Amino acid sequence: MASKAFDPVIEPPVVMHSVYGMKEPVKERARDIAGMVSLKVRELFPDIPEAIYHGGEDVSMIRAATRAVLADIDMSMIEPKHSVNILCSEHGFGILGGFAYAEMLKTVRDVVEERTGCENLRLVVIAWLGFKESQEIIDFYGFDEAFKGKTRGATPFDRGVAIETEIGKLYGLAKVYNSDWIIHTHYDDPREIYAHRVIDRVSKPFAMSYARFETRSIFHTNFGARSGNFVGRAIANSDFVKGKLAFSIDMVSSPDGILGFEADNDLDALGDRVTVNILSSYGKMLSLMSKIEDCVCVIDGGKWPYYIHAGGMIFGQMLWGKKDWYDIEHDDAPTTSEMIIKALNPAIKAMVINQQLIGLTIPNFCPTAVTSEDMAETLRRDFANPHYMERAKLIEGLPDALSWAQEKGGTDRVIFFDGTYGSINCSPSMATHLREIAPKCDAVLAEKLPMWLKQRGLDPQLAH
Amino acid sequence: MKKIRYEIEVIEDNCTGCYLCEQICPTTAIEMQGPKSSAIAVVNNDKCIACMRCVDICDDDALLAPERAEPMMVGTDFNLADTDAVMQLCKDAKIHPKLIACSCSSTSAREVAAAILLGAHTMEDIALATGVQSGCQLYCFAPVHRLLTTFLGEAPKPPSKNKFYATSYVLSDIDEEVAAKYPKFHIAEERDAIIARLDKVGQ
Repeated sequence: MASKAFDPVIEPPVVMHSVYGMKEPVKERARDIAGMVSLKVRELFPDIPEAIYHGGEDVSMIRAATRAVLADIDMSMIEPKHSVNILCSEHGFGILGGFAYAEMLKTVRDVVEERTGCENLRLVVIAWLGFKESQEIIDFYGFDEAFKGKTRGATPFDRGVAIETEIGKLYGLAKVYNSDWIIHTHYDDPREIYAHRVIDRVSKPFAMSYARFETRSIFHTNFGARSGNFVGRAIANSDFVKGKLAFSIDMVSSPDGILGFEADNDLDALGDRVTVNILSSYGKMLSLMSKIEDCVCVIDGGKWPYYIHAGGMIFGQMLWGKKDWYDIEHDDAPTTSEMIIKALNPAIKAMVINQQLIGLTIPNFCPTAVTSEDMAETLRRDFANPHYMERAKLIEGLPDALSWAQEKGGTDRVIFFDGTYGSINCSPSMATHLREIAPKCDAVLAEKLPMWLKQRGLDPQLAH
Repeated sequence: MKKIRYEIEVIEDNCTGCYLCEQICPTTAIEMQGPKSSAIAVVNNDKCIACMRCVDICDDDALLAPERAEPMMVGTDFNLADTDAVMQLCKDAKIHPKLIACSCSSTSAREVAAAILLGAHTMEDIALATGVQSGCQLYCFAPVHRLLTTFLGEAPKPPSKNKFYATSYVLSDIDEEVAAKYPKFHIAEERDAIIARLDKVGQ
């Protein structure tokens, strides 16, 4: 019994109900598939930094760590008569169920009030797209109570505010900037490395969450694979934003979970620390994903498929896995869209969609099973993937869908992207495979981290 | 080419006349009709590309999206326009003709350029002719706006205030000095690579 050599399946984070997902909760998850196991990421790579938080609703350590890091932050610019917008982005709530990020936000609010006497502290929850998304988040995490009713959602279609930048006139959201001060709350989960390339990651939300759809589109489509990241930097460097940014805080992570927090009044200084952490903490796991020989991927989470984790790594990193995205000096095409096609991971032989949100285009390139009529109907109405269900097959029930995908894909190696950090839920054959290929990734940091740092203008000595 | 399977149905009793659906519609398929204080949303489904944004923004359950009796196909065959003119418009806009301008509708820049040359001269007309803006809208706006602005010689006017803003920069718009100031973004390198590719278009 190979499965006895591994840990049992771990319980993935809870999935918040959303109008952008299925009507009913899923009936089966990895734990319901006979023989599935889990494998700890720190068993594969013991030098992955150990987390203080692995999930769940006990977030007392998050509050304590947030308070500790804010102790050194200058808040003297905020006066009792001022207004402050505390800005947050939807992806933060996709990390380990979002409870750590939510607690960080609540703690920031409380500390700012204690330190400054300012009570006009408003949480601005910025959605990826949907008009109902922000309120769902505000309700689920109890933000109205924590922020004394001062919460509001924002979408990229809300009224804009012109920002003069070194590129030209770009547009932020009026709801983001209509305060005396803003606080930028971040998370350094590397997420879509194929888009941001860990180039000035800390400034990306200024071109995304905090920006109108026109500006987001410039980043995504009109600029290049690395230069797109200048959009966020240009906005962050504008006099308008510099005059409002009080400080920034980052939720620091590794594939094991939440490590703690960093904060700074200086966005650039914080950004350098974020960059070093992303490159060093996630480098080996990225290499591991690229070396998987064949597999069936199960999508089973409460966000868009690209952004659902397995052992702290999102599906997008697996999907576009055949390139070292950290290397920013050897691109073979100027645009992201060209490069991701070349980087499509042929190791993904089949897929199973158990649950996900809609609204973000995803390629349908291999045999794909959808496990319920509820999910299938949700996908039929996906405006971003209008033809998806013409190519996917409805097979009721996760066990049967998985069997079908294994047969079609010709492999019994299964990996669940179900939101986990710290461990990967998978089949025993996949766990065995990961153990076998992990040693091949051991040298990647020694060999490449100094180069990755140098390419970003950071001291290669930081690798040691 | 995008297959439009759904249309929009208004539940008049639920409509509160908030105008949000009219404002968010990318093709002006929704029009508020009646006196301003008691206007009701009216949908022209021949102009609806099923982006579902109106259904999403409505807080009153006043809009449903039933399946169409027959799907409507939306798209522009770029071969219907003058090929040289399509390529020249893309070159002038500094947008590669094969760039996927909209992944939600699988529309390339050359299809957008062809639609413009065939008479789509507003953002709304282009959306209806090609299917762009029928999905997330977070990718397609800038290349479409850039192509149309290049064709018109001026930024297109939005049908209502704040509907969209005139901003669709490309890398060639960034000053050399600025590009040189931020080497880690590889601005000049990518700009030159894109221009070199555009120079080869049609050769």
